[in-house]
Amino acid sequence: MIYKIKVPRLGVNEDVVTIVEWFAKEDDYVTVNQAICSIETSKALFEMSAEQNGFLKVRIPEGREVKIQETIGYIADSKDAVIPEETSVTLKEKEPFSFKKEKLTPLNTEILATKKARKLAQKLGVDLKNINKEGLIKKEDVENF
Amino acid sequence: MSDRTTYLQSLNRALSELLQNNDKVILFGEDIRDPYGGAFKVTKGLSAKFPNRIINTPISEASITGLATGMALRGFKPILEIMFGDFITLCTDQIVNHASKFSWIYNNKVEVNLTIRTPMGGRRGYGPTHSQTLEKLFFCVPGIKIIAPSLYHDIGNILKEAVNEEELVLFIENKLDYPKRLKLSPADYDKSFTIKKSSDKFSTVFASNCNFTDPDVTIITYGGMVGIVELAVLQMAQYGIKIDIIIPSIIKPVPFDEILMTAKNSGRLIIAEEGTLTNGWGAELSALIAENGFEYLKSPIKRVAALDLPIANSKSLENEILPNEGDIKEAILEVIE
Repeated sequence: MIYKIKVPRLGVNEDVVTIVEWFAKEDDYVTVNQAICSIETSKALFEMSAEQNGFLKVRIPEGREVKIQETIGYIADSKDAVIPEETSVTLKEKEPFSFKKEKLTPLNTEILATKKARKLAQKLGVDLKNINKEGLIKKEDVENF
Repeated sequence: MSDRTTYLQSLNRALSELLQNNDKVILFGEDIRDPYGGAFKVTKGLSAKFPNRIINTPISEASITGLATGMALRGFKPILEIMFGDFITLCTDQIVNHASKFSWIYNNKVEVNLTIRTPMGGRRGYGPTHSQTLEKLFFCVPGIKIIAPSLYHDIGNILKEAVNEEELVLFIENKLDYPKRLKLSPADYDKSFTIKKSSDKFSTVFASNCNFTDPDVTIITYGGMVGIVELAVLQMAQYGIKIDIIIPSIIKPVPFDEILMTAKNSGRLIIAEEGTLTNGWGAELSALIAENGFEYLKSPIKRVAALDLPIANSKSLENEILPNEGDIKEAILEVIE
């Protein structure tokens, strides 16, 4: 088996991190939870640990920038494992944050009434749907109904 | 012609010009030099142009505020960046007990020409300690001007004016507005809007969907809240509701006379802010209106603000906690008869 070592997302703003150092070297046998490399974001330095036991195969050397989710190396069951070709990750463009725009409702498809109109209608038992008016229903519209 | 300048570019250019034109201007902040250029990139590129006047500081907001205050006392014009507005609490002693008081204590023989820039505002899922709108903490402190422009203001020019004020200025930026384009010409805003601007250096913008004629409602708001008010107004306009919006760039002291002059036209007022409701900007402004313009009011003033809660990390909870366009629409329906 060959396991991929992928860069996790370490901060909300970070799409790219730098591999500072590989503590374990090519073909070293590493064990679960052993620190294998350090990666740097703009805020801090993080250590990555092995998630499997096996032989380390380095894909990206020290000093290089990599994208989040990029495979930076492998842990293989045998030293001679054949590593498949890897295509690099293309990140989705970060969507700029925007408010959910409520779809604009055209006039008269829903009833819009002021709070005072709603209260009065409730008190008098008037159904606002029966008030034939374009646009906003106001208190006086309920009174005149 | 549409102005393609973003809020961020306008600030960056203004800082560059300030540094260019006055060698007393000096910038302090955490990681504001290249390559990082500040958490929101407002100072990007400046350390290359002015290598000795963009100073990276330790993560120690109280001491860098004290340092900048001292330099201001000695005739410099320091501009301090506090990375997130939430961290302004760490500067409070230096601001409240020192920088804001020195002129008064020393009988106007000294000036504290210090500008503290910091971004406020939520809606990015940054959680309870990186999303707040905390300028309200300083509303009660004499000796500070608080400026919080919107996209309708030429924010770079306002920053230049702020830096040249001979007084302590807290300059509030908005995280969500950084990448957005300024709305300085008719091509940039909705065509149903008419815009007027006061001639003060810290100008107030007046927007109206009825050409300031016979408005049903007036909304007074500032900073990052303006975009949300705008959305609500565009939706309510479909029902024939006529609305004026008043957007000051200086929020302490408020340009009260200008505000009242336009607000009295409808007499039905909503005050919208992103900070928490209790003891907020709206509370002070409502009190001023009640004291000085009660005769113009046709309905009780309605405040729209954040719930009195910490801001949640979860986007959906955050949206419930912070004031949104639905809250503005409800408020509009409440003040109209």
